[in-house]
Amino acid sequence: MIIPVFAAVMAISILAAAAARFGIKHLDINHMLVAGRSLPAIMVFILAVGEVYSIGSVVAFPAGIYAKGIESAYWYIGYLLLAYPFAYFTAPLIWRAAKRYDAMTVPEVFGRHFESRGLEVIMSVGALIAIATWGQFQFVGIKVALAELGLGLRPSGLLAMAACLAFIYVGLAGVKGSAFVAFLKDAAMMLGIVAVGTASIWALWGGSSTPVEVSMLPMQREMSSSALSFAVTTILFQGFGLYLQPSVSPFVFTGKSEAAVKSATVFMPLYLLMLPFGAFVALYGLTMLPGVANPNRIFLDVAERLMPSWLVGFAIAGACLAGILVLSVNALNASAVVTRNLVSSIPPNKQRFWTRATIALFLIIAAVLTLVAPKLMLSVLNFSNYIAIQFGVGWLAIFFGRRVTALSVGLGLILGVIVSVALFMTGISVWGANIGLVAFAANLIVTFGLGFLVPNPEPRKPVALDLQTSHSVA
Amino acid sequence: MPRIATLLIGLGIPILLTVIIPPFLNNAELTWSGIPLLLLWMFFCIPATAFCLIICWYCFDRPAYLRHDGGSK
Repeated sequence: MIIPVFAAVMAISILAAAAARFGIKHLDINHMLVAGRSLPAIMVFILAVGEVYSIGSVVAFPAGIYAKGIESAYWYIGYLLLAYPFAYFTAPLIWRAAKRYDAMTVPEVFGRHFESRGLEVIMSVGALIAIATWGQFQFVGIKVALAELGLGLRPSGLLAMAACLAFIYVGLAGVKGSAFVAFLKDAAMMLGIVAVGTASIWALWGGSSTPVEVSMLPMQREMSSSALSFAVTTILFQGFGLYLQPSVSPFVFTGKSEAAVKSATVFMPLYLLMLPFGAFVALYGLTMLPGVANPNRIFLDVAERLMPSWLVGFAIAGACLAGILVLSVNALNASAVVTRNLVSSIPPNKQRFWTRATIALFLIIAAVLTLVAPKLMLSVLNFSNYIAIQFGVGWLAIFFGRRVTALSVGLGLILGVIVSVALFMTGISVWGANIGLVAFAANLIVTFGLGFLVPNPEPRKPVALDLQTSHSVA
Repeated sequence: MPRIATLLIGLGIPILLTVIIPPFLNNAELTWSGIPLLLLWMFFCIPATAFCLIICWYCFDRPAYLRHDGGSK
């Protein structure tokens, strides 16, 4: 019963992507990347929160609580939650910068603001690294969820299936296809998480008259002082940087006005109300299923135990759709960077072909990375964040910097990435602080320090000093 | 004034809720039915943060954008 339900949801998702194609006579590059700038605010909202709220929320969040307890829950809820207050102030500035330079990709904003083709290329390479690791994280989650189906396929077969679906979503109708599938994904995922979470709460406290105590080890109920300071610094800087990441900021570009972008962030925290349900799944697992061999499967283990098999099929389909969808949008973002910024000489009539070819190439590389370099899911997510958040310094320079040059922004980003990779590979700790924060600090010092020592002879107007450019309040 | 007010309500209070207060709740003895109080506190922070942003938008920023629109016509 699991497989027919799963297959049905996947078939409907392909139909949804196909439905997005109606009304588009000729699918040109403009339609593929920004849907002809025609998406209503609600679709932009669904795309933007859906990107942040990926397969990690379904599979990795309960797995993290099951393995590490409060430490993992505090960090995960805290940084996602704080991302929206920061976005409330930074997202309108991102939109304003993109509007000022009529940009469709992140490297375009940097290239045009600092008038440097070299910086545009460096930012393109950085964006591709960040997006590829984020894509790989989706694949790891999809592998866990699909393995549950017991199709007898090898991991390579499962990943190939996911890659094909991701290609279909954006290949058929571009970003509009993803937006259509996003509605289905949110419905299936909410149904899955809320159903399994409610079943867990009921199983723990609903049926019996004697109150059940959740069993967590003392070390799972309290963070050590080093874990606490790590969590607090991580929440602050990841929350600050989330919307400045190259995989997230493009969604801000599609807003119809600065006010629309700002107002969209207001309700985004409520989307996180799904997380408590995931947490209760983990609490049930800790109490009733202690010591499972693979914590990454705890959500599915609990679902299998508490739910009828057709509902398990829904939960797996929702988890897989979340991963495949984020994967498809990332593939599209990566291909936009390649065809518009990295290779600037592709004629317009060839761009659609090259975009599709790049999407396919991106999916293959991310799938291969997952097969040859498997890591624990949260570690992969961290590594992706370390690199992606380095873009935050560059954005600060665009928002507030007057005399910062292209050279200092480029060198800062390169140094930030090198420091993150070096600390990650060697395992060296700097006062127990988050690796990304150390790299971020190095990047910040180089970018603004060089801007101070070797100032730009022609000062630029910081984006934050522009007047409010919106003329339509959403 | 609205700018300082929105920064305090929209960013200051959420940081107070999610970063300043949690270390005081980080205690293995503080539980309800075995659930760490800090976890329940983080659940509470979700609607509380949305509420802060709703106040900022509807009391300060939305009227400011509307005034700006009105002034430019």
